[in-house]
Amino acid sequence: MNKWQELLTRLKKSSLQSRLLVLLLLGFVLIILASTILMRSYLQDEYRMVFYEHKQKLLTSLVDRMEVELQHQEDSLRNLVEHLVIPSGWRPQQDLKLLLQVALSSGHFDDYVLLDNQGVARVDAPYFPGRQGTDYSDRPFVTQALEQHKAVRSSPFLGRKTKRPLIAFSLPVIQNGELLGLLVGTHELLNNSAFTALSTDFSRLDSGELYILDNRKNLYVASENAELVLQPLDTPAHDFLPDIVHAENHYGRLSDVQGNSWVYSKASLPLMDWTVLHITPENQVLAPAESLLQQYLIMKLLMLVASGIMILWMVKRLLQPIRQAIEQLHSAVTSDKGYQPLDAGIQGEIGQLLEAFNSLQAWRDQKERLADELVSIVSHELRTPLTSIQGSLKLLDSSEAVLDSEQQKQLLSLAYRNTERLRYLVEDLLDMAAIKSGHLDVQLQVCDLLPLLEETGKNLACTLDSRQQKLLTHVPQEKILIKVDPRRFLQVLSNLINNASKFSPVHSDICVEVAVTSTRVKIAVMDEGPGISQAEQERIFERFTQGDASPQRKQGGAGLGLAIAKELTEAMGGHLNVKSENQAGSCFYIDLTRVI
Amino acid sequence: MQTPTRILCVEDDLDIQLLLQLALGKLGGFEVMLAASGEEALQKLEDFLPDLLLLDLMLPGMNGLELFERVRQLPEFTQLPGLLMTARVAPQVPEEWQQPGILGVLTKPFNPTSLADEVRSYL
Repeated sequence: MNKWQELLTRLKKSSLQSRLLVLLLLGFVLIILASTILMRSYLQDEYRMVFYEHKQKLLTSLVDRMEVELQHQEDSLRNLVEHLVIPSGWRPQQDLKLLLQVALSSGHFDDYVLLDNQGVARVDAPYFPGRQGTDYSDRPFVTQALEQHKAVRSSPFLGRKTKRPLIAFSLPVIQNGELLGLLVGTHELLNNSAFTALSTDFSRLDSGELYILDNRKNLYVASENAELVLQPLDTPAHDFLPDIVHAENHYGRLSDVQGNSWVYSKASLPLMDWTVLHITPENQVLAPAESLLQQYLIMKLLMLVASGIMILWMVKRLLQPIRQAIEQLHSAVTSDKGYQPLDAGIQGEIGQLLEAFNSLQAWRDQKERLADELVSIVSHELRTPLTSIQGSLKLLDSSEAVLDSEQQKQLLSLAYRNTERLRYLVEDLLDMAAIKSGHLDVQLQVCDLLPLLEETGKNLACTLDSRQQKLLTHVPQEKILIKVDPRRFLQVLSNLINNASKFSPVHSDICVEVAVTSTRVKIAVMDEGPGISQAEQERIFERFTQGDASPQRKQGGAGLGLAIAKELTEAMGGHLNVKSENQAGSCFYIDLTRVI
Repeated sequence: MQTPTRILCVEDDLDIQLLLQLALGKLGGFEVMLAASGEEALQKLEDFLPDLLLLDLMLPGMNGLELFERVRQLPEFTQLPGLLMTARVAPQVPEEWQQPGILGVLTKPFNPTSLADEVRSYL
């Protein structure tokens, strides 16, 4: 038990390949076992059936021939009886003797005895001294024939004078309704013509033993082994013979005392109340099946070994990319080389798995890059306004005397502007964090669009002035209501205008155009900047991206603004999109539901 | 009196431009020309004929290094020296920045009161 458990544990820890090998071997053994058992029982049944049918035919033909022979014997005896009497009674003794002598030469019987109506022998042929006068009335077949006046076939018996196994046929000799006596013809069982012919046929049966058995007395009537004749059936060697004789089936199998299996077939000879029986040791019957099974097994084994080798080879090939991948991953961890894309090798699930590994790693790399980029962008974005603030304050502090009042004012507003810039950046980062964690705070209320636009313009005047840009607004002359969070809406709009300003040349115009239908409001922010290519338009609303994807970005900014603006617009139930052609400026537009 | 050294500052942030103008021009005594982009710098180069280029690395369009290479390819500016300015936080100066003509790298934030001296130390 412990050994098994140990083996099982070892198997669980072993490689996939050896597990498959064990599984395969087990499967093979099971397949071989199951198929052998099935095949064996099928073949055995089949061979038994064929054997039975064959023997049955043979036995039937034997029985037919015996019946014909017996009928001939009876006919010849009846024929003889007619010649034995004359109208006055028996023929003279001399004639009778002669007739019997003649009949003897016909070969139908080995021995004729004429009995008188008391069962006492009167004439015999061939002549045995002392037989005449012997009383045979104690023989059942004599008694029966005398009493019932009819032909009687005897069971086998031992001849009184001859001391040899015999069967007899007694026929009443009747004249004018009066029983004169009996004509008895006897056969020697051991050299009877009919049974000699049969035994020639016995030898044609390649194996097994053939017996003729008497049902009434349970005796051997005929056997290749002469010693058995007239012996009782229940000899130790074949103690099962009585069972067979009385079995209902004409064929079947049995075991003897030693446990050997025998297959039997039988046919009955009702005329004599005999059974013709053929028995064969079962292993002889099944020998061809066994040899066939052996061949089948060898072929099966060869096939299984061949297919096993093929399957193993395939499994090895299948697992090769995984092994390689494992090695590669190990070395990626242990050495500083980092992750090398795995060779997916083959198609199918394993290839897909390895590909998935690669894309997972690529995704992680990108995340890492994005995080790195965020740090470097944010630090850059922090440093630029910090440089301005620190620089202007230092100048104001230490070089007051050198600077005129205009310059001092300039420096102050510069410092102020940049603290604003810092504030926006920090707010952007917080907003982004809120969006990422899903805690964006948006308080919707119905607002008039126009004041919001004006406020945005006012807020951005300073920035636009510093770049000498003009903000043009085109708004239809009607009241336009929208449902937004005013603070957030201002943030989105400022972001768009700020962007427009940042990416447009100095002295250019930035245009805010409002178009309305009965249900929608569209606010477009257009600039005269370099425009955005189609590919960049697709990514521009992602975090940390600016139009130009080169490592050295053209413009400051953390690349968070548009991503935040889009999220905010969508949180307020609107859409933010871009339309742009390279070199022809960009148009960002907010699409909102109009409140009537 | 010696003619002041002429510096062309290429910096896209207008606020920093102002600081450079004051720190180098007003305080440092250099003659300062400002440009917001590489293109603008290339336009102003021929008229201004600077003695030194002060380049911000991150510029719209071409970056500071690209601009420097472009300028050095012009026949009359093959020997024009340059100073790089960056807000990048890097412990080491990347190799690509160490090329003939680049005198050094200034980091942001800079101290406007000592910037002129720092620039002068490279000359």
